[in-house]
Parts: sequence; C-alpha cells; structure tokens
Amino acid sequence: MQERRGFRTWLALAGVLVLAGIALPYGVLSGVWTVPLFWLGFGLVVAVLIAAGTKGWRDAP
Amino acid sequence: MIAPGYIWAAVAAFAVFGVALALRAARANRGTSADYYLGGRNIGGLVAGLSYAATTYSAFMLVVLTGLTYRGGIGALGFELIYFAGLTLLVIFAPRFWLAGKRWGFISPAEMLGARYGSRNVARLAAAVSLVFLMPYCTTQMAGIGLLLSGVTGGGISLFQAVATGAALALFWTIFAGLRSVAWTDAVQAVVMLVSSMLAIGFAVAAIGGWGVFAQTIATTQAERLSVPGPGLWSFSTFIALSFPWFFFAISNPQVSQRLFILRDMASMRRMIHWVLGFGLVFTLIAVIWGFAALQLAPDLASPNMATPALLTSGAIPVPVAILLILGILAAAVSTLDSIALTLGSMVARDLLKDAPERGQIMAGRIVVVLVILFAAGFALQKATIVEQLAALSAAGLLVSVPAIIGAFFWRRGTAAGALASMALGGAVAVYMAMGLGVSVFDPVLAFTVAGVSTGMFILVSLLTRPAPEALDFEGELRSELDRRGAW
Repeated sequence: MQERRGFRTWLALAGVLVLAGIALPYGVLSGVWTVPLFWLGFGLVVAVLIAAGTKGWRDAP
Repeated sequence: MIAPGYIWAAVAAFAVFGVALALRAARANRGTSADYYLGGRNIGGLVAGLSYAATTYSAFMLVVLTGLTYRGGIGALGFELIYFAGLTLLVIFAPRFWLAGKRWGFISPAEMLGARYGSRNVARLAAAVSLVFLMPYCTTQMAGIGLLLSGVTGGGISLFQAVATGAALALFWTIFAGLRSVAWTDAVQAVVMLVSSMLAIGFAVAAIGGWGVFAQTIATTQAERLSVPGPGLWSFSTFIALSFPWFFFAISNPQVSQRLFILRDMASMRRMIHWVLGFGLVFTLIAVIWGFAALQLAPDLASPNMATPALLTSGAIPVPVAILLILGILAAAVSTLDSIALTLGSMVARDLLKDAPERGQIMAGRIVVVLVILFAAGFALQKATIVEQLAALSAAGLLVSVPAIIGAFFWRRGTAAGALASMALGGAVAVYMAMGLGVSVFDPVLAFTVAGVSTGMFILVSLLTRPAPEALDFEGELRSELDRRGAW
C-alpha cells in the first residue's frame, strides 16, 4: 500500500498558520476590527486545514 | 434574579431525561472493561464528536473565557483559537491512538504508554500525573456550577446545593453505564449548550439594538478591547503563557485522548473531528461575543467571572432562555466532570490494578468515579487554596506527558527510564515552580520550563539507557496499517 503524500507540506502549513495566528495580531495588525476579523479567518483556515488532513482517511477493505 | 424554583424544575426535568438515557445505555453494556470504559469501541462519529466537544468545552467557556473577554477583550478569542489550532494534532495522533488501541486492546492512554515503553511503572506514573492535575480541575467545574447557580439566584441556591446537584448528575450519568451513558448524555448536553447559547446571544444582541448597533457600540466605546494587548490583560507574554500548554490539550489530557479509542472506524473518526471543529469554532465565537455583550448590558462588574450571571439577570434575556442557558452551562460542567472521573477510573482500574479480573476492574473504576466526584465536590465547598493552585496548573502540568506521547509514536529510541524521568521531574518542577516559588500560570517561564525539563529529560535519559526488550514498536508495527487507511 502506497504511503499518502503531502504530510510535510501540510505540517509546514500548520506550523506557519499557528505562528501567524500569534505573530500577526501582536506584531503587524492594527485598526479597530482588523484583529477580530483576522482571528475569525484564522479559525476558519484552521478548520479547513484539519479537514484537508483527514480527507484521505479510509476504512481498509 | 431568577427564582430558584424555576431552576430546580428545569434541572429536575433535565436530570430525569439524563437518567433515562443512562439507564437505556446501561442495557447495551455487556460487562467487559472495553464496553464500560470505551463503549465497546463502537461509537459513531456524531455521538463521539458531540461527546468530545462537550468534554473539552467545559464551563470554562461561558464563565471563564467570557470573563477573560470582559476583562481583557479580543485576546481571549486568539487564546482560545490557538487551543482550537491544537486540534491539528488529531490529524497526526488520532489514527495512531485508535490503531494502537484496537491492536493491543488499550483502554487508557496511560496503559498505552506503559505497553509502548515496556514498563508498568510508566503506566502507573502517567495515571498518577493525571490524577494529580485533573482531580483539582474537576473541582473548578464544581465551583463553576456553584458560582453560576448562586449568582443567578442571588444566593437563593446555595453553593452546597449547587455542588450537590452537579455531583449527583455526574454520578448518575457515569456510574451505571460508563462511557456509553457519558457519551450519550454528553451528546445531548452539547446540543443544549449550543442551542441555548445561540438563543441567548440572539436576545442579548437584540436588547442592545441589533448586530449593527452592537458592533458600532463596541467600536466606539470598547475599541481598545478589539486589539491586543487591549486594556492590559493580554500582554504577549500572558498570551503565550496560556496558549502554549493549551495547544497540546488534545494529546496531553487523557479525558479527550481516550475518546480516540472509542471510535468504530476511520470514517467515524473523520466525522468526529469535523463535528468538534464546527462546534468548537461556533462555541468559541459565542463565548467571546457573550463577553462583549456583557460589557454593554452589565458594565462595571467587580469580578469578570460574574459576567455571565450578571448578563443572565440583566433583564435582556427572557427567563426561559436564561434557564436553558443555565442548563447548558451546567451540562458543560457535568459533561467535563463525568468524563474526567471515568477516565481517571479507567486509569486506576487498568494501570494500577491491572491484574484484577474484568468485573473487579469495572467495580474499581466505579469506586474511583465516586471518589473523584466526592473529592471535587468537597474541595469546591472548602475552596482550598492548594486545589485552586493545582487546578490552574493543570494545563502546564499535563504537558509533562507530551514528550513521552510524541516519542511513543515517532522515536524508537525513547525508553521507559526516559519517560519516567520526563514525567516525574517535569511534574515536580511544575508543582515546585507554581506552589513553591509562586510562579504564576500567566508567566510563560512556567510552561516553557516544564516543557523544557520534561523534553530534555526524556531525550537525555533515553539516550543513556536501553529500550526494554518487551517495549512495543508503534512506529514500525503501525506503519502499514496507517498507509492502508490513508493516514500520514
């Protein structure tokens, strides 16, 4: 059975995303609604990334 | 204030429904440990997902997170979303936990670690670490119930009555049918939590003047709270101190990682994760919006943790909806409490009394469940300082099991001595720093020192010792199954 590809890319994306979720609000973003909207988008992207990570899962025959 | 009679009537109706569900669940049990503690490893994605969500999203959300929003603003959202991002760990670890559980028949995560490192002492120490840090956490759930019920009734329901109610519900829903009744009642409770909080938010925002006015008022009167560090609470160091240990919650907290053993198949696991994601994101937003609504409808509170009781009794929320939300928060606390009690019961039964027969293990687990709930109730009433300190320390304290868990699946060279040194020294450092030196959980030095010591000890001692001959090779033995099931 062939190994599922893409783990390193997915892991790198997850790492960058988590770092961005901390660094951008504290280091870059400003403006009244910028941080709340950024974190809302962050939460949605996290959910999509996790869903993508589970996409290839299947039950063995 | 809300009349205590209304709340008692609602709690009674809820209790009758929950007990009926628990008794129905008991009929499905066949008397084995796997059945009692894991629902026969045959729980579907919807029930598992809602149960996981109800367990992980406790009374903390609508009491403490709302209070943190009230006090410090939007940083509370970021903190909770970093925890949410920690669910990425499930993509890596959920299939491994599940496959290992199925293949070797593990009931508890501590038992799994013991088998992996070929040492019962590793299992015993992992169980002991969980007991030390999770039992006080149960106390905070009880305290949350007390704070809420006495707060909304102006003391009409006493702390003792509130705690006794929470204890009775958790006991009934756990002791009869174990995980099956906990999971079923959790699932119902998750629905109550979500529906009631969405209704309450709708009424709160309507009382303010609708979503547009709500947003505009926040922007004009609370603009500082819409950025970080905000009015002061969410400094960068505080944010890191709280977020870092919580990021690892999905694997460090056995009451949720044990949920990975209960699933029927990979499809159920995927569905479970999707349900947790949807529930978690919505519930997080609700808790934070609730905090901002409290700032407008119940300003200038002396204690931010009273934001929810103050908002519920502000007159903006109709009494039936307020009572439904009170049930939702009660449900959140009870579902976390009973899940922790059951997990601790399974750890004592399987890891400390491994040689006992199946019926003996179930009976031992039931006794532990009763003791854990009585402990939590007793200390919630006494408000013991040492228990409050350990509860605050739980996230950082449970970090000490993370190196051994990661090493179990990804580092063959990890040894039992390394795992033991990592958990023992890491746990001792956590307790000494927090209680001996008085280092606050809001100081990142605490979590990073604990993580550094436990990781360093795991690597160093493992390199200095040899793996036990009976240690299992998860990495090698699970690889083909992981590939066959499309998991990384």
